[in-house]
Amino acid sequence: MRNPPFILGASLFILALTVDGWALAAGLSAVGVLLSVGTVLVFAVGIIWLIYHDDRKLHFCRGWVIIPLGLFGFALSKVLEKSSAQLLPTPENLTDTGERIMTQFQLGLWIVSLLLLFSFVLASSLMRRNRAK
Amino acid sequence: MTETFVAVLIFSLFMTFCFRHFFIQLMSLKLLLDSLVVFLVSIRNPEASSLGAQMAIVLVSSLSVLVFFILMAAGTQKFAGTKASSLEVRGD
Repeated sequence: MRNPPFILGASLFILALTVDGWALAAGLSAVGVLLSVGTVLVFAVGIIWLIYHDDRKLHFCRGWVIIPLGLFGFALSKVLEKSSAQLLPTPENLTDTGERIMTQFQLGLWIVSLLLLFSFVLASSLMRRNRAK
Repeated sequence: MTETFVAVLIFSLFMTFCFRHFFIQLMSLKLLLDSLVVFLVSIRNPEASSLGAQMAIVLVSSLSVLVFFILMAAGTQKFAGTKASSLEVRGD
């Protein structure tokens, strides 16, 4: 409970849940719920890995990366300020969104689903079972 | 509020790049994905419609969540059996 990776990971988990809560509060119910479930799942998997792997070393490297990232963030916020774009509440409209996706990207959805099907068939054909000696 | 979200995006990118620990990188990537989804769907001009953004975000977030979970499963399986502790690829 006191090792630095756990504390840092728990802080990131709470921050991610806050972002998901903001999505829920802004009217994005389905997106917020799905993102929250995903966050809890990722945290649970990470905690299981942390317990079993028991790695207590936390390496910090390339701290200078904060300079270009900070410049990029500053420029991005200035551009958004100039273009008068804001974070606004977005009431979800799943019916219209689904209809528009199915009418405009129907061929794309079929192609993606076929690619996924072929990739899973290929991956399952490559799997081997290790027999117990 | 916009500045706060930009700061969260930059912070998650920084944590992903600068901390060599699989658990931290996993949580940072999830934070990056969440904040990117919420940022892209909510940021717009007050008079613009959000339907296009909602449509794009459904496609982008579903594909990225699929890729992220596959990466997460592969990473967990890989790092569970080794002494390595980050997503960084080493040449040795």
